Amino acid sequence: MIDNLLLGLETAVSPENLLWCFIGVALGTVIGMLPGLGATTGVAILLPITLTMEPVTALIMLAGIYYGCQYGGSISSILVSTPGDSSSVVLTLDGYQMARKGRAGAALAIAAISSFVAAILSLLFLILLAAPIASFALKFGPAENLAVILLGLATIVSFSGSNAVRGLSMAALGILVSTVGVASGFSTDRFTFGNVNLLSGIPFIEVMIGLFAVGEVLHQIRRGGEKPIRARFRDMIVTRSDLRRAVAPTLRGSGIGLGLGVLPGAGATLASFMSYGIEKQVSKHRNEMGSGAIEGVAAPEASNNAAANASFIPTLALGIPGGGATAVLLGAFIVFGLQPGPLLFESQPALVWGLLVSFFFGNLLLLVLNLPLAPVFAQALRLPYSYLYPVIIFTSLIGAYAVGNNHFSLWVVFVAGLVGYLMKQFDFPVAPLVLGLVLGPLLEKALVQTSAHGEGNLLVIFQQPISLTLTLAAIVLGVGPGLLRTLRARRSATTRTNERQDIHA
Amino acid sequence: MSDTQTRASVSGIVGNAVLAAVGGAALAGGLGFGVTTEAGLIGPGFLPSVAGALVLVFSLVEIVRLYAARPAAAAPSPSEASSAVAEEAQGTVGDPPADGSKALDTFGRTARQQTTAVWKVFGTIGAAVLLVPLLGMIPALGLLVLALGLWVERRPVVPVVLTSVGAMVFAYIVFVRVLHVPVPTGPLGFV
Repeated sequence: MIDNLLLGLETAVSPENLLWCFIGVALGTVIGMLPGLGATTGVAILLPITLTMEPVTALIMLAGIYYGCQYGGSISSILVSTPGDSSSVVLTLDGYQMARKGRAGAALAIAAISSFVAAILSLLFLILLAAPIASFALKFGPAENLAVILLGLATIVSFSGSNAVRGLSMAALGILVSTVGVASGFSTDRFTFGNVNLLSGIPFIEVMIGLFAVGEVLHQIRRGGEKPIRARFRDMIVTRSDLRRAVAPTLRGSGIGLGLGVLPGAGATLASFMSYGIEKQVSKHRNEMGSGAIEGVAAPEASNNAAANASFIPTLALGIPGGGATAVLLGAFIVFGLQPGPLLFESQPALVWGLLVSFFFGNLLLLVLNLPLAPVFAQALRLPYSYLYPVIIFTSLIGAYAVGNNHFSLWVVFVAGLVGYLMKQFDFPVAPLVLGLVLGPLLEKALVQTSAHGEGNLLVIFQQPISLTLTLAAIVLGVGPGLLRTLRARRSATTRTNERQDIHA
Repeated sequence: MSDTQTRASVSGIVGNAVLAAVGGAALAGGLGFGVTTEAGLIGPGFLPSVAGALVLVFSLVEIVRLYAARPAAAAPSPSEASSAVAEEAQGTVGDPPADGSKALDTFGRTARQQTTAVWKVFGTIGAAVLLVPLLGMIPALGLLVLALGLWVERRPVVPVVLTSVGAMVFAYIVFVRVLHVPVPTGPLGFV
């Protein structure tokens, strides 16, 4: 182990690798800030420029782009409520509210610090437990994957609060929208109305850009806009109290991110939503969640980053990508003539351990680069909104085009923008819709596979210990909050009745 | 029940009725695709049917809840009354006055002008998307920034032109030169 780490350190700290790691992190941050351009697109777009490099240098740079994009997405979520990708959607809830209260710098700094802590924790986890965890994840069959997705969907109840029915309705709508196009495992096209652009489904990144960026702009115009934020510099800086409040959510978020990031396909989006939902249940400051709480930034950001790092476990150890970005990275391995899997650790130790150690330096560079720049990024909010929003629409449209290289993407943003605006006007939550949209294809795939595995019987999820535990947890998470509310309401009603009877007596 | 609450309740019922219709249509469509295969396994219509049914059920539950909440508000308990006041206060701060009063927002618009501005912005975006194949992507989006700044926001010409040019230069450098995105150029060859 020590020999491997020293070998990795020797590879990672070479001036050339450090330089490309820095370039990757910086480029990734910029790309992640652009609406719609998340880690997957960022890595895919920049993959060609690494083809002339040494494999290890190229992979270190691509990994830098990956986590740079993750943080860049958080910046645009916090500042202008425009997530770079689906894993940053949750940050628009509290991060954006903190920004509107003049605390954008603190939100960005907390995001950077919790990301760094989660990265370091997940790196230690990755180094120590990659092999055993990978073998445990191998036990996950269709039923277990289905149970994980159900667990993810159940978190909607917790973060929808008292508006749980609307949250569930929006999640179901998201799943419904995700079924447009050719069905997973079938040749039937659904709800395409003869439009060839819809055969491959409604592109969720473009939908997300429309819902969040264009929808938010239209909503702000209808509300009368926000005044430019003229926060004092000291309000932009993270305080000791902020840091204290961020410790527990960061640790909880890291744990959730690690657990879910290891599972192939579950990924950072589910982890960020789930950690937010759990924080809303257990945090001391849960009543502030949704209105600019530090916990609402620290937990999802930590889980997002921990999941991103943990998703390298199935990628490197099994050759199964943990998410979209690692799928592109898997492609990069193959381009360089490397075959990820258990043998990679033995045949290419310098590459594997160099890459793992470079995560530490990459995340350190990300922190060093972004912590001092947080108040600078936050200055964007000083611009009058009437100059800022046309630029947001401009970059949203061109960002959406860059994802699909298709004019149809622009129309998707246009329609989703109107839908997002109407949802805000009618007070329908947007985040559950996005979660449904993201999880829909995974849910259908898991349902089809579980159905085949159980010969048409979906109840097999109750017959295996892991899937049974996860399904029961999903039921508790889904039904528990409503049941607790009802019990509390009944108890307070009984107390009031007893008090009245005592007064009369 | 205040006007604000009545409006919120009616708009909620309308919104949920639209959703219920979408859910019902999806359920019918899903059943048509086949919920199960001949072998008894899940078919292509299973998930659309289930999702459509859930949208339908949740929307109907929400409509019933909104409808049932209307008479309850006629005689609110003290706690409900105080939360209603708080909600109304938030509404006053957060939402534009609905009576079309002359109070101006941060853009310098009245409530009626706000509604018009939303549709102007939305229409301008649609026009820009239509112009992309004719002018090229970056010029069309540059025009979008100009139109929003000058026509919708009525800002001074020089800062709006500078914003538009700045956005175009930024987009050209990042998307065309660095990321090599093949943006549509239009018949005149502009990027």
